[in-house]
Amino acid sequence: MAATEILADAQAPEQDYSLEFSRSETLTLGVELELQIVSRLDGDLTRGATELLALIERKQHHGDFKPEITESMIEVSTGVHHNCATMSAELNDVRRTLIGAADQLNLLICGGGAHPFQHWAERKIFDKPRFHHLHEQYGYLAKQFTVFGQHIHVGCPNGDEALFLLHALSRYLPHFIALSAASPYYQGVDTAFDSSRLNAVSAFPLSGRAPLVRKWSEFIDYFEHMRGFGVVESMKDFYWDIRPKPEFGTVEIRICDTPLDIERAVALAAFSQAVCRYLLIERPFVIDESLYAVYTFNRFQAARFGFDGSFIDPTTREKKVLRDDFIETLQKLAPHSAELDVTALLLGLEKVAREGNDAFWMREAYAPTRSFGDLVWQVAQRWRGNN
Amino acid sequence: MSEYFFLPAWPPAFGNLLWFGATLLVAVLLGELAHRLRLPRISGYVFTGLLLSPQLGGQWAPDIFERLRPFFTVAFGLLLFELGQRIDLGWLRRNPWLLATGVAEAGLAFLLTAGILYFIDVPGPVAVLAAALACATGPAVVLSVCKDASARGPITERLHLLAALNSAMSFIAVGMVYAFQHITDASHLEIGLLHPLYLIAGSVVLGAVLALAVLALLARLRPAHGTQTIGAIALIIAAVALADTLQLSVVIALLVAGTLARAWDKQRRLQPMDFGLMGRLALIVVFVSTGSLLHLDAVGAAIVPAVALIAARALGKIVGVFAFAYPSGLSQRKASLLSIGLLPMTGAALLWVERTTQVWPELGAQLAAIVLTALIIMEVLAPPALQFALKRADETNPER
Repeated sequence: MAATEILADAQAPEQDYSLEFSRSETLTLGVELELQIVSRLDGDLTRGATELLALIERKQHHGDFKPEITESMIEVSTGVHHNCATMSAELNDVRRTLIGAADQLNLLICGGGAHPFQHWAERKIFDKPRFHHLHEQYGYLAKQFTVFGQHIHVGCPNGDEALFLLHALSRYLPHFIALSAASPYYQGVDTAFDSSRLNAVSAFPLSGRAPLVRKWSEFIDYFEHMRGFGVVESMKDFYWDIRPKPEFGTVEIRICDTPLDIERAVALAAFSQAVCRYLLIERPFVIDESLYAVYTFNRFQAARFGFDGSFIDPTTREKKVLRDDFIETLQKLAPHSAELDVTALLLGLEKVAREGNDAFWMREAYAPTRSFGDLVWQVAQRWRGNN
Repeated sequence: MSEYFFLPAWPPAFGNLLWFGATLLVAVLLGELAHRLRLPRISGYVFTGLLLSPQLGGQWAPDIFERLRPFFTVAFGLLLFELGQRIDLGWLRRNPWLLATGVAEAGLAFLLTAGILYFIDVPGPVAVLAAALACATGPAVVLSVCKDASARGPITERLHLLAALNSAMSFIAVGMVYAFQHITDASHLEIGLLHPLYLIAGSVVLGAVLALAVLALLARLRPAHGTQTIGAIALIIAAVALADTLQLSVVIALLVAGTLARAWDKQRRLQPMDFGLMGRLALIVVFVSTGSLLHLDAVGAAIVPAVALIAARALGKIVGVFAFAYPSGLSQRKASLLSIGLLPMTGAALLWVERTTQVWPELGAQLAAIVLTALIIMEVLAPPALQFALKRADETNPER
């Protein structure tokens, strides 16, 4: 979502400019995780993506590993999954592969939405002409916002349904933010935000929400209009919190910080799947502009305060604490989560909402030693599954 | 008493302190000049040493090294502790091919160097001792140039590890040559065995004690205001003095101390340790001293064996690194950069030459001619080469 994520997206392989919405099986899932490459010496970000990828490519492995804009970041993505159990298995494989290679190179792999103390000037732009071009275009933004997100793809039957989900999901955006928030520290300070990463997004043009268009044909018109201005060249130039991904036939939720472990990443995918099933089957509210009236308010509250933040339900105009709305939501999702066999995963998320998200965990971990190097070490242990 | 008792004697006798200040000033200026010429700053420091030593500076120049000696020993110790601290022994376990690389590059450099020197009629003991000194990569050079360039990344980390490994191996090799020499000398079997044993075991024990002391201290101090760092420096100075008095190896004791402190630091207290300005000062002192010990008049005499030594050890290191590059996870391109980075020779060789000369004057003189000549050449060429390798590996920070 923020700079490096945006820029990284921009280097995706050649896209289909026809914008035809590919068919995909409804409610299938896929996730992408952007991960930090950190030095064992001091816990700061370090260069190592090239060696890491070279080592991984030598072996048979699951998942797809890609370089990112900086040498300190690696992206992993899963294949298409019908259920969270197989996704979990694949991510476990991915983790094993990644840790094996990282150990050999004396590197640590960390989740989290941002590195707690990296000095952005230290970062170098990944050595490819395309990246250098982007660096020229965005200047310091390209380096300063080295942030790390999880993207979740949910399969949609067609473009119209993708747009329905895109707009309907906006009501649940704060839930995703609070559930995944894992960037309380940034550049060596406690930002007081649960997800400081989201603040990085706003600096970019074409970030935020998608315009209210309901039909895929209207969306194509909108896109052509924007292309006519010369503002965008392809879908990749829109950095919205939620956007359609026509070539995959999915709606892509891009708001989440990369969580500290893969279990949370899978649980977030499970929540997406359950919410989408609920929305598609029950059609609980009408899509109109009023959905977006409190969008930025809710988004800010969740990023700043997590589950303690205020939440205004745009469909009922009711104001409540985000945690309460999340727990009510889980109750509404119950039949769907049972059908999708993700009840246990969502129960785990309820525990997160009640007892503390990753941002809370990080603050607790930092408090005794007040050493960021030590915090990074503990975060790396979380990713390894040693906690 | 003269009535002008308040005036100093003429000519005035300047103390060490003035020389120290002046030397430091020249070093800083020449270091900056080197930096502007896109050379590593240590090239400027080495040149300062050369310039201010009697050979270039003329009659009025004092023996810098003798005057700097206490500072030099402490500074060298500090740098080696800092290097040791960056070594992760666990890495050797996680990637055993690195150990293979270290053994291969140092071993081959030793064998090839000894072989070629012997082949061109250098006496056996001289050849072997020169080879033992040549198989090390200058740990202080590696640390300094990497810091100078704010280098970070896989090549930088491997350079630190391999320099520490081959310094240790070089030390053991020298110890064994000493033992052998003692035995053949006068069949002093006990001395032959005891000398290296004392040297190795004593240095390692001292290093381990220092490591424990540093960790114990850090556990009791808070990191604020550099208190921890100054406390650690105090312990390091004491340990360096002990190593010197007990005739142990400062290199090994401090390298071992840094490495063990890191390995035993389960609470990661060492992590925020930064020797900062003290480290920079140490670096200047070490390289000015090294420069002042490079006797240019020695160059002519032993140019052929010196060049043979340089070529042979370079070949050994290149072959050793390439042999295990693939299994250790390094591309061919990065392997060639790593080989270049390993080329600097160690200034510690000068101390060994000195020590050897004390025990075996004739052997020492022959050794000095070869090693000094090679060292002069490498002190000029190797740091820029190392900096070049780091740049090509894209591990330097151009914004600094």
